[in-house]
Amino acid sequence: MKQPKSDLLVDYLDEKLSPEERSEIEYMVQHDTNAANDLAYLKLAIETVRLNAIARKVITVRQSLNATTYALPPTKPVAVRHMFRTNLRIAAVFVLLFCSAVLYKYISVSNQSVYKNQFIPYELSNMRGTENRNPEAEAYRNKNWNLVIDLYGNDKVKSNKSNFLAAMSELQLSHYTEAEILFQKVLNNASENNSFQEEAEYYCALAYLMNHKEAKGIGMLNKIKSDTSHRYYPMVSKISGIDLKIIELKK
Amino acid sequence: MNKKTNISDSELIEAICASGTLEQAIVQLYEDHGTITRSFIMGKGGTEQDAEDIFQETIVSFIDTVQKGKFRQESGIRTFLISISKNLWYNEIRRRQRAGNREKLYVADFEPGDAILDDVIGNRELKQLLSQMLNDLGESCKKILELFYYENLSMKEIVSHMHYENEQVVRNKKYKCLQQLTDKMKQDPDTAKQINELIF
Repeated sequence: MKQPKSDLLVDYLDEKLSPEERSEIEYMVQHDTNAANDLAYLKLAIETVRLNAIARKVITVRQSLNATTYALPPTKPVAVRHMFRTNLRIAAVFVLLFCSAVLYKYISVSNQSVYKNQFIPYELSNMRGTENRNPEAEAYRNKNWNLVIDLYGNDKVKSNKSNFLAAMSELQLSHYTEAEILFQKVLNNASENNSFQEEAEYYCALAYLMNHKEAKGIGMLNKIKSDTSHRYYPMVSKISGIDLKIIELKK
Repeated sequence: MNKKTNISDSELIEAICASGTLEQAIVQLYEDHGTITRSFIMGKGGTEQDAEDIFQETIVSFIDTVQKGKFRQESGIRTFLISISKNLWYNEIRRRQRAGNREKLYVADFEPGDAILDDVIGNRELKQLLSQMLNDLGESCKKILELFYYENLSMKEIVSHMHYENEQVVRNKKYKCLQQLTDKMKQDPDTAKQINELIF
């Protein structure tokens, strides 16, 4: 029985025919428009099957990927948001604490606070050991600041020591301007074996701060800070650079 | 789906052509090229759903091109995918315009693709119509045709796979299904017209 034409065309496309049969079909397609038309439709149908199969595979993968991407436990995004919020809160607290600390620092640091922290009474006996006693030194040891100043006023020859003790007495009495002038006298008289120079530098710097001569005071403190062999270096090195900056800003 | 893997274009092409590795290749295509291609569509006025659909269609067309040995690898896979997506999207915009949808247009920089691209993209609407006709044949027809024409299984393998009595039954069923599909194509005037314009 002769095979229907359409079945032969399908076999032709399926490559099931012998070379002779293939030639016959090709001849038929060339000379029969209907056969050519049928063959074209069959090719299109097979092409549709192929594309559909590919699309089905792609859709399957896409769905599985979407499931993986979107089918997260419902609590997860909440957890992430919660963590995010918690982190934000912690960060906000840190920022607040930091800002509060900066504000507190700015408010609390002043000329007076640095002076208060840095001023230690000068101990004459500790510094000089067995020196010849004199009335000024005695009065100073007795913390009789006014007497020291009076005796200093009666001195005909004013040594670095008498200048310094008088300056320290003025400082004790909160007479910062007078103290500054007397410390300057010591500093201007470096020829006297450099005695009381380093002491005068340190206390003069403090006097400058209290006289609102911040630039001079900070300059002098920085000079001491840069000299590790300075007698008062251990004291000055404790002063925070930030504190000095704040004093400068407040000026 | 943002990461770029270390799999080269050549390895991906091999995976698409080899049997049993196509699914993995599709995953790779999504992971390596999904985000950028879909971003392109969304940057041209498409919605997220448009971008998903166009990219899916792009991958189908790309796999078809590769499996037919038509992908020349002159350009990288990403460039090729973006070209397909771009043209598919512009065709879709035109279709919506014809349908009267007043959507924002992004066709100013549209340039016709090369011969391969035109071939790859083809007539999107016609393909969708034909796909629908195939689906209308029913699952068994679709399965037999897919197993034979796409999975390249023999009649004997299809018999065991689908539990038919013998190879002849499958053979007859396949002929019948294919005939039904071509009949549907010929019977629908619009489809037949489009096919005739395409073929002749």
